[in-house]
Amino acid sequence: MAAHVSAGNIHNFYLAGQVYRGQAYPNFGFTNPFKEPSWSSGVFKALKADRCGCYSRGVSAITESSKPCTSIRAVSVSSSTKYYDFTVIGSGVAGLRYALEVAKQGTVAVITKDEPHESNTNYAQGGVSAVLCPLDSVESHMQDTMVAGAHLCDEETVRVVCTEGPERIRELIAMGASFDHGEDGNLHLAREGGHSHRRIVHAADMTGREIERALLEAVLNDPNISVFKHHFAIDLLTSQDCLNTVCHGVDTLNIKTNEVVRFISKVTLLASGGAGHIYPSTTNPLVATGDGMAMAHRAQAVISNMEFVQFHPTALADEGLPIKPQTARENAFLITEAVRGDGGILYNLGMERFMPVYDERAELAPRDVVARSIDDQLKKRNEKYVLLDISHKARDKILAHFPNIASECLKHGLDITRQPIPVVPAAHYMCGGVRAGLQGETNVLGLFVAGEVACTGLHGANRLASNSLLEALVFARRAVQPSTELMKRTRLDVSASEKWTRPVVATARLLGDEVISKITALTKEVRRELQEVMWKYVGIVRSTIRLTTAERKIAELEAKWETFLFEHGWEQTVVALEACEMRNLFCCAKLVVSSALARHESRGLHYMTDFPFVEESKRIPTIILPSSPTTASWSSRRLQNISSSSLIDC
Amino acid sequence: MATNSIVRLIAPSRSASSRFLEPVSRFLSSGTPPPPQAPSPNQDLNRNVKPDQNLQQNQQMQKEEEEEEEGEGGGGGEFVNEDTGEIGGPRGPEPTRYGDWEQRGRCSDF
Repeated sequence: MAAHVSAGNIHNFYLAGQVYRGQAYPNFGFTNPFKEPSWSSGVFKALKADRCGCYSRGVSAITESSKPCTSIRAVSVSSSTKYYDFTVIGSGVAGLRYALEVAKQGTVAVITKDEPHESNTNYAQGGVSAVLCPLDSVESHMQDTMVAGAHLCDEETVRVVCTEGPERIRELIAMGASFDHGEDGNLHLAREGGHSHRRIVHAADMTGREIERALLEAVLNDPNISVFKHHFAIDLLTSQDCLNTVCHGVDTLNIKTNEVVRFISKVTLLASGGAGHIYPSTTNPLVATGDGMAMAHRAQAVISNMEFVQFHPTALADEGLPIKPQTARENAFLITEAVRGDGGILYNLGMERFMPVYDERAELAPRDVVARSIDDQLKKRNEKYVLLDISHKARDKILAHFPNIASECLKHGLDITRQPIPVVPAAHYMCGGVRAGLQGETNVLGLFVAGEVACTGLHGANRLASNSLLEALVFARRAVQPSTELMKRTRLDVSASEKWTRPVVATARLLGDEVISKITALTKEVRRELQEVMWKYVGIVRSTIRLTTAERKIAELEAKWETFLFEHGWEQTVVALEACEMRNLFCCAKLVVSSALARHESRGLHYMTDFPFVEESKRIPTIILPSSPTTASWSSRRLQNISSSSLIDC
Repeated sequence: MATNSIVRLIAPSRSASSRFLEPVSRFLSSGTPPPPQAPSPNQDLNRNVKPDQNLQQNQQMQKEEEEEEEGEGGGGGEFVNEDTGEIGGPRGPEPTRYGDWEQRGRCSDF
């Protein structure tokens, strides 16, 4: 299997920088390469001995020991370095759920780049799916998930998630999350598109927020958990141990004090969420700049399935509003399918009704068909939005059904009872991410992942509605035991914290006021340009030509941006929030493009005009291996180098 | 609120399930086509939107909203949906009737 780390193909597997498509096994779905932690399997140890003739640790601030190790008291040697048993990056449902559990075993730092509640979780309004009705079954939930995922899901992962979901919901309730129920006291379960049964647990229309609230309250009350808000994660701290990469923690930038804070920990959980802001229109909050995926890639973690980006077809297009919003809208306003269901018609700006050309069901075609059609129209006609017209319906019905849309549009000078609504697709969810095994483990020792940042094999080529919160809950919980076991047998070498060079904050003193302001302005402009390239060339309808164009344009844009920075005094280890986010956006954009180029078929969310059909032989995940360390761009390299005196020949 | 739903997890049954049959050939598509019929209109509790004060057409809705109870969920005196028996849930048509999760026109999940 392509992604198996097994004796015999380890050398083939570890081809730096390659996007690996692998061979297909007939009638074989995706098999999880991380069924056993690869670093502890006997096979892997034998390989190491062969490869490097030694079994030493290399640079290691962490040594494994046969004796249980004591937990770290949260001691700071200096305020700029902190030591914890566990570091959690991200404060959404995955991060907080994990933190609460591992806090029973050791000290935990939760790092979050904004306020703790600011995450994709908070905006996940719908619900969490789980088998909670006796008429429902795990098999049914599995089937729905696999069908939605265009059969690219890992069956074992799907089984685990669907089986463990109900217990995770019950735990949430026990923690104080308040879900809607019926008069008989039972949970009220809704049924969303793609589900064969009613199984969506929700809290009115703000499920994510309610879960976040309950978890955050518990976290803030837990004496073993320290939350560091406004701490932006810069890069993971790793060392090389013959064939293993080991994670020792993370460097962060305290945005409020403009200081670098280094976290050294025995175990790190990456739960940093999505990357919607690689596109210009997204439902994601501003924090979703793909930081975790980028850091993991730079830290040699394997990335998977980045081509599967979920878009919603009809977000309100601010560009089409008579009165433009004064500040750019942070999260896209999604127009419900109910508008089309109730008779809304889609037109291009030439007032042509285009849906019947693409599908005989016209506006009632499935959402992804509509998304593709709109995208195709926009690209063909080089336009920014299309029109969704419901004005032919009775005014009182429009206002009764869609008052949110009516008032939002009216605020900006548009009366939806008389005029069509400008709409454009918005990026919503990343199905791909850091490749995770069934316990949330990655190929980097001591690095676990959970939530949207992870690619667990659950979503396959397309996420089923309400499965994302579920995935986060299940994997956050599953990562607890291996994390705890690893933590207990790990001994921390406190003196090793200076083995990595420290990031340096970009200040006016370092670079000059004028340079700082020029770099800030350029970075803002470059972000906008990157988003435009992604939308134009890596949107919903793709082709090899468009993707290779994207690749070229992104490389040029990145080179232009980095050159400007480095010509004006920026250096490898210099950091600032906007610049670090920009390098993460570049990194994620490139991961999406590379993955998209590698999949020569159309499946789920990934559609290629030159490969418009599903190919059974290609029903395998896309794998991106770590880049070679000599890669030129700043977005592909970790900031911190290990000081040469610490290196041991392997 | 936290204690009420652990013991019995049987959802109330609904007749709407027949609307969501999957078409046969949906290997390439992931969405469920919306059903042809439109639901009956209903007044919704406004949680998210502050309507424009100058709009005559919204004043009617606003008056009704002010009479309703607001709540974050939990506790007595909440809206009870007569069709579903759901307490504290959304008013108006079933949010998932067209497959996505919508409230008063805005989609929040799909």
